[in-house]
Amino acid sequence: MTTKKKIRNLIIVIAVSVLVILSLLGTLVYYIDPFFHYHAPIEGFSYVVDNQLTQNPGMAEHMDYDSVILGSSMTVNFETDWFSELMDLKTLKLSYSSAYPKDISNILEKIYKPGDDGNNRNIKNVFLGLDIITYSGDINETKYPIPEYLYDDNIINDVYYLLNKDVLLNYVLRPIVAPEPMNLSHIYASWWTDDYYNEEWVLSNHDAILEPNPVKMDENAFDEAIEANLDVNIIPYIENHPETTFTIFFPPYSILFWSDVMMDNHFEATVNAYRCVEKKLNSYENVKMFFFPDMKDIVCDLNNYADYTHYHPKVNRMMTECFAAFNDGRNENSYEGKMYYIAKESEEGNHMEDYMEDLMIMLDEYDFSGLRRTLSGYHENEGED
Amino acid sequence: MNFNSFSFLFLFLPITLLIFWMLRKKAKDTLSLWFLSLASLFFYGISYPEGIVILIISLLVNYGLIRINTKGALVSGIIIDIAVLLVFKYGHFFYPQIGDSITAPGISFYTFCEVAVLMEMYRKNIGVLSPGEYSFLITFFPKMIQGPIVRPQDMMDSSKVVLKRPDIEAVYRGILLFSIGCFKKVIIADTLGSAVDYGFDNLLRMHTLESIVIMLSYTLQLYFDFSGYCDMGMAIAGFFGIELPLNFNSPYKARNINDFWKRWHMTLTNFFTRYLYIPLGGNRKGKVRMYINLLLIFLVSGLWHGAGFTFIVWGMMHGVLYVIHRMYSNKFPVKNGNRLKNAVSVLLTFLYVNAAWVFFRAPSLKEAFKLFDGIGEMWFPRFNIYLANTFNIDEFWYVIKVLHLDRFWWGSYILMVLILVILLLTVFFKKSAIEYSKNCKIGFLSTALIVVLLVWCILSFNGVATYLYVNF
Repeated sequence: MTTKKKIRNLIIVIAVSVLVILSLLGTLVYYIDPFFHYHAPIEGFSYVVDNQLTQNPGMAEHMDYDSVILGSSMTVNFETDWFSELMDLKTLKLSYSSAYPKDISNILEKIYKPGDDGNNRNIKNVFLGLDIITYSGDINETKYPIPEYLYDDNIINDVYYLLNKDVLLNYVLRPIVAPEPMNLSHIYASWWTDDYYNEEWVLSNHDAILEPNPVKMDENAFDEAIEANLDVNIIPYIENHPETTFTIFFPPYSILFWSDVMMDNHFEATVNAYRCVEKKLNSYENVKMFFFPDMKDIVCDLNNYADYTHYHPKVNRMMTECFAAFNDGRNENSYEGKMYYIAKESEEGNHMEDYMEDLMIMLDEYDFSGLRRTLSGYHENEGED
Repeated sequence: MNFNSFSFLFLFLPITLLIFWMLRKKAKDTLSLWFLSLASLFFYGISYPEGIVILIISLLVNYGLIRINTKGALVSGIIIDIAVLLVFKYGHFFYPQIGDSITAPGISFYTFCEVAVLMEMYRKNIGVLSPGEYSFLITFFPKMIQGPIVRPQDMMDSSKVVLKRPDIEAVYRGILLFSIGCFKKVIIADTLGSAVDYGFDNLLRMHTLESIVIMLSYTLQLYFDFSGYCDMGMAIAGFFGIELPLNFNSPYKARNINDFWKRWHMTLTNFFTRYLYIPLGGNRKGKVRMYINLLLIFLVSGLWHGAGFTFIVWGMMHGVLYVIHRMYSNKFPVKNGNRLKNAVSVLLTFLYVNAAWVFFRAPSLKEAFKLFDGIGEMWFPRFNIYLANTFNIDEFWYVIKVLHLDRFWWGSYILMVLILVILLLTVFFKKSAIEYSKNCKIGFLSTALIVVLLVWCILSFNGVATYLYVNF
């Protein structure tokens, strides 16, 4: 064989080898499909589920469920088993940490996409944790850039998924080498153990606003952006899916959140933002709203938190019990006998203004000066360190 | 579009090559040149749609001026090119909205190529260029965005651009060079980059050893990144029958700063020598003037790399040592020393260059000094585990796990030490990728190496983004 011919053959060997190896690896990823992009999980494989951005869209499209939990890190500690136990719902958790409304819209799009059999999924309930602070941004803003190739229908860019070292090593090889049982009920749960939920930890790690902002924000400053976000990212799904109950709740942030809101001089604007959301969403028949920010015993006790907003998983359990109690119509089963349900205008019960009144009383009674003195002490110690 | 991307490797490159080779068989070179120019504009425009407008206007204006080819046209051309650079490369320092709305990567490289053509044309070193030839010389995609900065003669034979026919062995060696270049960029430089980014983001937590690791990592990252890209560019250009000039020649083997600049970003050094140092008088107007000229070159070089005091300090660090070395070597001509003396010279030059790179990378002088403060602390607590973990890339970390070395406290540091030692030994003692690809024996081993490197790199083109969910 001449040298030229030999080299030509070697080039062919290179091309064929590279293509064959890549094809085999791509086929392996397709078969296991650790992001559930093509199919439901295969039986017997211990999937690692730990990446909201890449795994939520596939789970939404290919898992078997009849209700979903959506929202930010405020929802990651819900256990889907509770929803089964208390409401007989087959629930899937599709939280996105720090989710913006557009993130919610992206995943709702996937949820309502026809399933593998071509039929629309029958979604009984969407549990949506609504973080008021994230609804005043741009309607197209997502917290993190989304991996488009897992969200669109373009099969060409699937190459980013199929030929991906991270996918192969961490989501295909790792479960083969060191399998751990998949527990979808507990996925995405926060890393804080019980020891972190204490006042000392929260205060020492919180970068509090201690100097009041002299410029007061307009009291309706957030309303326009909130309305735009709801109109584009949330309401279309509510209107198009009357068969689904949208259980929308305001999570209970700690008293530190309110302290910062006051010091930053946008308290009225924030309170009005709550009103604005409620007014816009609670008019829909298939929307049930819950207001938890006035859970005084929780909110005012920093031992229930790991930072200024993130509460202990027991609070998630309490909220689930409230949803279940409302479903059953049994007040006594919910937290402290209170349902936290926001009655619609046509209904009897606690309306939004009643909850706002409770919130104001709670905040009026709280000793913010004492809290800020303690926070200042922590700041000074930090400076000395 | 990067060379290390699926769209480039599986679509753009094979399609462009296929059409080009078909044209070469059936049509004249002119058509092939036009095709390559259009393909290059597509290559650039698909990634930087705003930048392509600036590029096309710049091409049209400069081509018009080289056709006039008078002193006035030369001066106007240089002024316009510098003005374009000032606006689009440095404008955002004064008007941030320019940077927000327009990105024109590679503008420093192609603008310098345009200046080179203006100068060479005016000096009558090259003949009249057709529009196709001119456009090709400036935009040829393997070198447009990150260099090398070519003089027109580098890509021409006598008076015109001639596309050679690469033989099959050159193609094979090109594939080998591309694989090594890609590996340098995707696997080595990007791993080091994670360490450097982490280090510079957490300077206050970096003590003596960590700071040294960050400094060394950046020195290596910069070399493997830039030279890896140039290796890939050279290989790709070779597939089209164009031999690009050498840009890096084992720079960290340099025995003094003068030697370093003959090995590092060689085409930039040539550019400044031909088009700035010599017109300023070079060494023809006395020693003092020569030293001033040299300092000026390094000042401009610093500013060319970026606007900011850090780049000025970096340029001046090189300039001052360069001048001192020139003064010293004029009085005591450099002789080939013994091996020990050479080794010490290489080490000292490396350490100096290494320190200067800190200013090149640091976002501000304050941050640069913070890193030096970290080194100066002379405090050696347990090495920062997060910094060490940036070296624990998954493919090797599995090996550590399988060997159960992760049970030991030092298990997390093995890869960091190994990677840094191997890379340092490579830059000091091994042949460059270009030398290796030119001289290696073609056979099973080289073929296996190409396959492994290519598969490894391709699988690393895209990662799974993980964000710090714990921080919410």
